[in-house]
Amino acid sequence: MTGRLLRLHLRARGASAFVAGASAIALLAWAGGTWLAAQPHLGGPAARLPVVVLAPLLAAVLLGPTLAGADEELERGTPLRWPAWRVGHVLLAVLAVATALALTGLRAPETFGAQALARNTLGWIGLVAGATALLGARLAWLPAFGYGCVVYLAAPRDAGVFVALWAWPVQPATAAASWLAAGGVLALGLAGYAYRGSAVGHRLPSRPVTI
Amino acid sequence: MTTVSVAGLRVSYGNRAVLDDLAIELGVGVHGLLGPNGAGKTTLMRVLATVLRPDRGEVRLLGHRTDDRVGLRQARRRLGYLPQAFGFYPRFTVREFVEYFAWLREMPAARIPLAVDRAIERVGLRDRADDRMKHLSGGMLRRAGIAQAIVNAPRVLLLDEPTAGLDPEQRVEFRTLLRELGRDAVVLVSTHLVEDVAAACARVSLVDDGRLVFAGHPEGLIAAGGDGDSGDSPIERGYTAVLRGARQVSR
Repeated sequence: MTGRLLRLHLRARGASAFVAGASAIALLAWAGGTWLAAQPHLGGPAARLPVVVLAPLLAAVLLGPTLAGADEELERGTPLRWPAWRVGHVLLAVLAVATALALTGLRAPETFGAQALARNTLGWIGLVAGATALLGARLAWLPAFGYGCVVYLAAPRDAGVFVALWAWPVQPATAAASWLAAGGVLALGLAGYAYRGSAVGHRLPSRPVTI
Repeated sequence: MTTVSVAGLRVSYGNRAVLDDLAIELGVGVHGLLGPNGAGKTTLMRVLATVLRPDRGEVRLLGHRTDDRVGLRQARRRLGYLPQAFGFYPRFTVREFVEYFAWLREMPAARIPLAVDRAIERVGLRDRADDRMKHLSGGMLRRAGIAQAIVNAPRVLLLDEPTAGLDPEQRVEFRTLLRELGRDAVVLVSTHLVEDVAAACARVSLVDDGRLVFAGHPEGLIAAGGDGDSGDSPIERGYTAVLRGARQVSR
């Protein structure tokens, strides 16, 4: 791998637009989270639930288009070790987004702060990566966005393990099962995306040739 | 010398077989791939380009089996592919686009700058090399696509409808380029333009309904036609005669 290939690859995937968008989301998350945490009548730091759900979700949605090239078929017919590149791409994004968002929630990290932001980053990016393998990069935001809306509106407050598993995005950071669920989603999504790459509609080989 | 070998190839989409028990052998030179819409030409090109895995059958490129990981990577380094329609990278200049694919095909770094310039020059885009892709016309985009396909001096070059969008003068120049490339590489050109085949191809294969119904020299295809067959040129009459004969046999 060379720096030149990496630079061209990042440009081909629109990385600069993603970085700009993710930075704007982090700024808004910091402003929104700080304001909510300072409102005692709303519950203080615990009032940051919308930020904890929405900010990582939006960052994951922004990541979706970068998970496919302009012509997936043309790219995957080349000898590059694509599965390794795909894994690197997603993990780098997870690291960058989780770090940026966690920094915004460090002032009051408990409940719905830095840790919950990092956990939700794992889960949402995993969901978008998995959806990319099944639906293609253009539609990858749909399952994550739909699931996010459902979970946020349902907002179950029970503390059971089952609830923590399916409603991981709205759980406090102390719910261990929510971390397990988010981590599992990331692992599955990453594995699916690494193996298949982005689905490419009718031109998608039903059995992609992988190296 | 045979450098592309396909045997017992079957590809299906759902229950419909697009290619069925197809066998084809290609050596160095320019080969035309003809056939009506839906005959399976693009599917065959995608299998040879290693982006579609067949249901069954054996594909060998440059001696490497494509179902072997190591062999597949080696074959891909010496493969050039232009799909029928390709998505382009609007932020890239022509030079960056061609360079990107040189890197993706794992060319030695020291060879890339010269290879990129040469590929761009061969398709007549030297004056537009630093223009962004989004500012190119359809014909120029096609030529940029050809440039990325030839940048690694491929031993197997697959061009699916390469002359779509080119004007007559550019098509004539392209045929000259094809003949040059075909001196030391297998060049397979899928096209509907039978006159391109007659002018530039040393051999021609005709696919209909997923089966190979003719393989030989263009003169052989021309000889298959008669005055009573439809078509405006001898090769068109040969093309329609072979298709008609194949369909009568299959009934």
